[in-house]
Amino acid sequence: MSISLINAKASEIVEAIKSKKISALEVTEFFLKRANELNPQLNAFISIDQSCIEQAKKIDMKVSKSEPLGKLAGLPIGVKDLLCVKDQVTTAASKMLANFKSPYSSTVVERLVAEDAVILGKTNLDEFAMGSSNETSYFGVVKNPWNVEFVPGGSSGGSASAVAARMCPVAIGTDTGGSIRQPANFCGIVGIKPSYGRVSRYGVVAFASSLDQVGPMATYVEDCALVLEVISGEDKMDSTSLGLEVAEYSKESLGDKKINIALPKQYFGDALSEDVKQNLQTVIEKLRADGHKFNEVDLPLTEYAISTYYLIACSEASSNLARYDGVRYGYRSDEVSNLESLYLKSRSESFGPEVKRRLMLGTYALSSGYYDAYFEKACKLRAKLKKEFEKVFESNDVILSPVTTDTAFKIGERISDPLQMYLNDILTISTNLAGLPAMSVPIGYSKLKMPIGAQVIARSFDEKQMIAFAKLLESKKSQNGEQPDVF
Amino acid sequence: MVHQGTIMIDLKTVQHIANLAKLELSDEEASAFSDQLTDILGHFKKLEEVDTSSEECLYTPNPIAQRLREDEVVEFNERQKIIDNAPESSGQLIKVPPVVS
Repeated sequence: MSISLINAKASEIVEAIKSKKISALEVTEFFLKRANELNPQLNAFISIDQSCIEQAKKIDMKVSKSEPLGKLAGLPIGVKDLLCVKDQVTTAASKMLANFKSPYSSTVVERLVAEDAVILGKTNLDEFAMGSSNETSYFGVVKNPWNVEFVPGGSSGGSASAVAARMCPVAIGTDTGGSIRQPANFCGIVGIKPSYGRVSRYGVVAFASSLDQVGPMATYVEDCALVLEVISGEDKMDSTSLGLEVAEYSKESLGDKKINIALPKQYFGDALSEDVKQNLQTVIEKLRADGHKFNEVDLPLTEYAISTYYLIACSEASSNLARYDGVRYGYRSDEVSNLESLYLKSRSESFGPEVKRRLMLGTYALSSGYYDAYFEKACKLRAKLKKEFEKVFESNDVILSPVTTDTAFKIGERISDPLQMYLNDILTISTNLAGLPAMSVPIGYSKLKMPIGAQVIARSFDEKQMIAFAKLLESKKSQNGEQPDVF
Repeated sequence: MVHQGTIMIDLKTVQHIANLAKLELSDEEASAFSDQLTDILGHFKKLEEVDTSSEECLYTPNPIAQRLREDEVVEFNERQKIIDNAPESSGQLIKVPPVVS
C-alpha cells in the first residue's frame, strides 16, 4: 500500500484511487475492518453497512473504464443516523424510529453519493440530536477514543468518535446548538457548522428547524472544506437553502493577508479551565507574531443565550416531534384501545427522558398564557443577539474563542443534572441563533492528553474566510503527533 | 406578560403540559419534571432583565425572504415502502385502532 490510510488526507485518498495507486475496494476494506474492530469498544456506529464494499467495487469499475470520477471518489464516509439513506434504517437514536426504513435519501447523502463517496454506515448520536454527551442514545453511550471513560460530546458524538479513531476519514454531523463543534472539540477533530441556509436539511430528521444545519467532520480542515463544497447549495426540496455562490473551500488560504480577529470578553471568562486558557493563549501569541491583529470585543447578551436557545429549540422540537403519533411509521404501543391511547402510549413508551423533558419545556413555552413571556421574548432576544454579532463583524473578519470551557467530561458525570448539561453549551449556541458559520479546530491537548480545540466564527455566508483562517489555525497546533488511546 | 416571583411547576401543571404534549407520565417522571422544569424555567426568568421592547421577533436567521417554487407534481413510486413502514397495515391501507369508541 503506497498511502498511509490511517492519517491520509481525504484528497490524498481520492487522488490515490484516481491514479490507481490503491483501489477503492482496498480503501473501503481498510476502514470497514477498522470500524468493525473498534465499534464494540466505542459504539460510534449504530449500523455499519457491510455491503459498502459493493459501492467501492462500482467506483473501481469506473476507474478501470476511465469514466469521470467524483470529487469524493472512493472516500468512506460515516453519516449521522439522523440523515435518511434510502432503504436503510434511520433511527435518530430513538426507540421511536428503531425500525424506520427510509424510502428516500436526504439531499446531503445524494450529493455525497453523486460525487462517488462510499457510505460506510450510520453513526450514533443523542436521541433526536438532543444532548451534549451522547449519553441519551437508545443504542447506548458512545465512548471518546482518547479515553473511553470520557464522553465524546454530543449530539454528533458517534461521528466525532468514528473520525477520531479513524474508523472513517470523514463523517457527517448536524449542529443545532453546537452538536458538530463540541464533539469535534472533545475528540480532537475538525467540525464545521455552516451558515443557516448553506446546506439542505431535506431528509434530515428535524429537531429545531430554524437552528438545525448539516456539516462535515474530519481529521483535517481541508477535508471538511472539500465535503462542504459537495453538500452546499440550493435545493428545491428545502426552501430555506439558499442559492448563494459555493466556493472551492478546500483551496482557500489566507496567503499573506493579515486579518482582524475578535476575542469576545464573555467567551474568555473565569469559567475557562487553565488547560483551555493556556492553549488558546499560545495560538493567539503565534498568530499575533505573524502580524494578525486581535481586538477584544463585547457580546454582553451571551449570558442570556442559553435561555433564549433552549426556549426556541424546545418549542420547535415540540412542534416537530408531534408527527410521531404511532400511525404511519415508527413505534406503536401494544397496549392500545383507541386513538388517544395510541398517541399517548406510543410516544411515552418510545421517547427517552431527555426528549420528553424538551417536549415538556417546549410545550409549556408555547402554551396559552406563556407564549408571550417565553417564546416571543426569546425570539426578540434572538434578534438583538444577531445584531450584536453584526456589530462585531463591522470591524473584525473572524471571531476566535474556546469551544467549551473545559475538555471532555467523564461518562455519567453530568447526566443527572439537565440544567448543568444545558449550561455546557454556552460558547456554541449563539451562532446557531444568529445563523452564522462556525467551526471547531484542534489546537492542542490538556495535561491529561485530552484534545482542546478553538472555535472560529465568521460573517453570515463567509465560509471562505472562516476556512482560510482555520487552515492557518490548524498549522499552529501544539504537540502534533499525539494519538488516541484506541490507536 | 411578565411573571413575578419564583416559577413553580407543580404536578397539576406538569400533567396539563403532558396532556398537551401527548405524553403519559409515571408518578416518578411527573415528580422529576416538576423539580427540573421549576429549576430550568427559573433560570430562563433571567431573560426578563433584557429590554426587548423595540425588537421584532426573529423566527429564522435566513437573510433572504423565503422563496417559493412552482408546485409541480413529481412521481414517487415507492408506495409499498411507505406501507411497509406502518406498524399495522392491511393491503394498501394503514390500520389504526377504533377512532370512535
